[in-house]
Amino acid sequence: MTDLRSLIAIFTFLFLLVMPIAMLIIGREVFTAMTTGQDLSHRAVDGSISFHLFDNPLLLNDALIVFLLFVVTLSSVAVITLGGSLFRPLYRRDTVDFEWSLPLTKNEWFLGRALALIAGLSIIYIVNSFATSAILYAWGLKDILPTFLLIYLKTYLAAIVFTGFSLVIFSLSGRLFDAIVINVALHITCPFLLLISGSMPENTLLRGIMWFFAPAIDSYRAVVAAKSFFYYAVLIVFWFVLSWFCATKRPAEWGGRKTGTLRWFHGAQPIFSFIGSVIVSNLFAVLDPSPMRTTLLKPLFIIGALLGAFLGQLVSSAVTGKTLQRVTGEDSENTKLHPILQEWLWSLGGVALLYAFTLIG
Amino acid sequence: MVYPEVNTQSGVPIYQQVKNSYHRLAALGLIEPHEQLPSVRQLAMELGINPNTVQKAYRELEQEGLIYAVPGRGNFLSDSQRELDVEYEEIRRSFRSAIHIAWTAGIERTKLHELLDDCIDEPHLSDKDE
Amino acid sequence: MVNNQVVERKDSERPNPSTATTTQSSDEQEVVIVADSLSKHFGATKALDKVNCKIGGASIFGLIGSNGAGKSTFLRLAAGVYKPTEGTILYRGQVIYDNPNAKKEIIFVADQPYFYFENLKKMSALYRSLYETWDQELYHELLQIFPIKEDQRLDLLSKGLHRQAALILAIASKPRLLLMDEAFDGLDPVMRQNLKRILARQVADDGMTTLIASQNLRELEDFCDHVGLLHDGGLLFVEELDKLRLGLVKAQVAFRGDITEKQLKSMGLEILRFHARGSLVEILSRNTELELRTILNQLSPLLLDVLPLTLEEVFIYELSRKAYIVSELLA
Repeated sequence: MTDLRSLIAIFTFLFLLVMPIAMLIIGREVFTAMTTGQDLSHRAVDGSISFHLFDNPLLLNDALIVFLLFVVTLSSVAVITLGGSLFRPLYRRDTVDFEWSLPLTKNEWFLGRALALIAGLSIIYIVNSFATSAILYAWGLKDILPTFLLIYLKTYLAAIVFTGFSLVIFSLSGRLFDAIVINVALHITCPFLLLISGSMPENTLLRGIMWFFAPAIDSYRAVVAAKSFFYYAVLIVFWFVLSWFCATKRPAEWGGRKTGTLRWFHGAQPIFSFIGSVIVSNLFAVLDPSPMRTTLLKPLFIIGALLGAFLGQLVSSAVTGKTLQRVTGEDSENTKLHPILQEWLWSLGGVALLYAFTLIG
Repeated sequence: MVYPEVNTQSGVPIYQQVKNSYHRLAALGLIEPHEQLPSVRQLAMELGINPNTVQKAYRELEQEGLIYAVPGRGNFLSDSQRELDVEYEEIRRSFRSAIHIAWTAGIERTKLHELLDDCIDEPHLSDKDE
Repeated sequence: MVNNQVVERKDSERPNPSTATTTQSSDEQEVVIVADSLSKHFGATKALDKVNCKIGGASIFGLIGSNGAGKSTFLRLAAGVYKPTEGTILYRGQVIYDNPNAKKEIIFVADQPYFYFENLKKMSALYRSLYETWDQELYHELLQIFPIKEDQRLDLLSKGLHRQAALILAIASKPRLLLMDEAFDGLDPVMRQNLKRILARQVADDGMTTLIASQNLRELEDFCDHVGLLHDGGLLFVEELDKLRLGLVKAQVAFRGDITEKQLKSMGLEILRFHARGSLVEILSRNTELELRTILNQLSPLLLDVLPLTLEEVFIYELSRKAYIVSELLA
């Protein structure tokens, strides 16, 4: 409890440091010099969202955008830190014994913690928005104030989306360390997949899925390519309902166990092979000079897919602490194929499916 | 109020010890007839023993007629002549054991009587009973 | 002839572990905990497997077993920390898991207590808000008895004091069911006696039911009224402590000549253990004391002493009957 209060205080200060204090440091002269006053509707990356508030074009300042990007970064760190502090009782035997024997329902427990987390974040954001608004007002930059507040609200909503997403991972992990590693790994993998599949034709569905599993990265788009409120509302509801389900159904005995040893994680195992296939095959495809019309038929691409699947397997084994055979050992009695071959087929199928998607797009 | 003695290390069941102790206290006259005994709660707390064990000892003592219960007031020592059959049987057995040893050692009847008298006159005997 | 009848009667008296009841007198006293085919599996490990038992109200129940026998798992199921894999465990007819109605009457003192706040002052405020039965007067009384101050930093305390702090909070909450894992561990003899006296009062005053798990039988034998023995996730038996000793008798005898086990058996003694050291013979038999004396006196023994039977011996006998090795339990 004391932990949480001091954490909120620390992050409130860091947020202030990143935005209004940094603004004060560079000074009004430099700040206003960077005001281009351009109509932001031209800047929208997706081009689908127009930046209008009550039919007035929104004006923003380049410096402010940079500051906001810092705020978004810091806010992701805050979500993981505050969330880790609040949900840490899930991961230790003594805390689980204490918390789960108290006369509270799991619903009450989860709601209490989730609301405390949201409240903590809200305090940080409210303090920061007031301080920043006050400075903008004092500097006589009233015209960019509405834009700033609108974007700021969306970064806040994006942070709440990431909070819900993080709560799901916190609830599914056996240890706090694992939860943070999984969260960070997803945020590295998903944009990396996007990057690497640059050779693929543009596909909004696929990209949407990638963004979906990397909400902290997605929250930068709240600044540069703001999504509608509806977009955030849907994601918030989705992630919080899912995290509520996962947290209340979470068995007490998961506390302190390696996440790799939990039952659900074995189901996630083909994903390792699949991601490995996609990454390595695409890397290899870039190196392949053969003039095939489709990447899918390039020999290096196929070799990369096989190798990537195998590497993915190794990573999965390292994480679960179990050997390749044993991961799928339970199923292998029913199937005639060797588990490794089976994984390869899965991965190749997955990669082919991925390409099928891109063709539709 | 007189409390019975209990030794948790002796291996003798505690309810048995409580019973034996009350029998002895009554026989020695340390508890008067119609004198109130400690309540189950008092005794359990004082000795740090299980109230259910005390309850059980009191129940059996009541069945044996050593004590009587007045609902709402507690347990009291009864004044009726105690049934000593159980004790007599116990003493008789100990004597028999001793007599067996005496006979095998060739000790005569009169010597045996003297020995018994000596034992009775020994000081502090009542303290180290059981 | 007579003995056979006696033995038969005792066998039928001996409860079948699968339906063991610990109610003192099941008609009068309410059953507090009922486990029905209760199992808890962790992956392939069966921490508890199909345990059936009933624990009566106001009972002080000792759960004995070695490390990994399933004691802590049973306590966690009774505290509502774990959800049973199979079967049920009910507190006064209610499911315990995720049920605050049952949990507000149950307090679990884990082997490693955890404190949400840094001192007892804040912790007691939390307990006061969570448990309606909290007794502030009792809390202050306990603070006098145990050597912990209200504003002392709990995280700096030794393991023993940590446990005592947890006991203060647990007892002052006046639970209807108190679950303690290795309760007397880390307590010196004076504190141990103090704790017993406080618990005795709660049992007498409020009819509190107590479930104590321990590896050490000696820790529990002078305080419990019922014991259950867990081994490898199974409950081997549950019995009223004093009844365990009934029907078993240990004696030291000496005869003029040699005597064999066979001879004594032929006279109707049901010998469980026969150990001769020179002319001195130690016998453990499944008879009443009167039967033993009557039969042995026919042989005019030189010496016949009936010895108190320790619970250890009873357990060894009970377990050897089930062919389990439990030396570690009694270490």
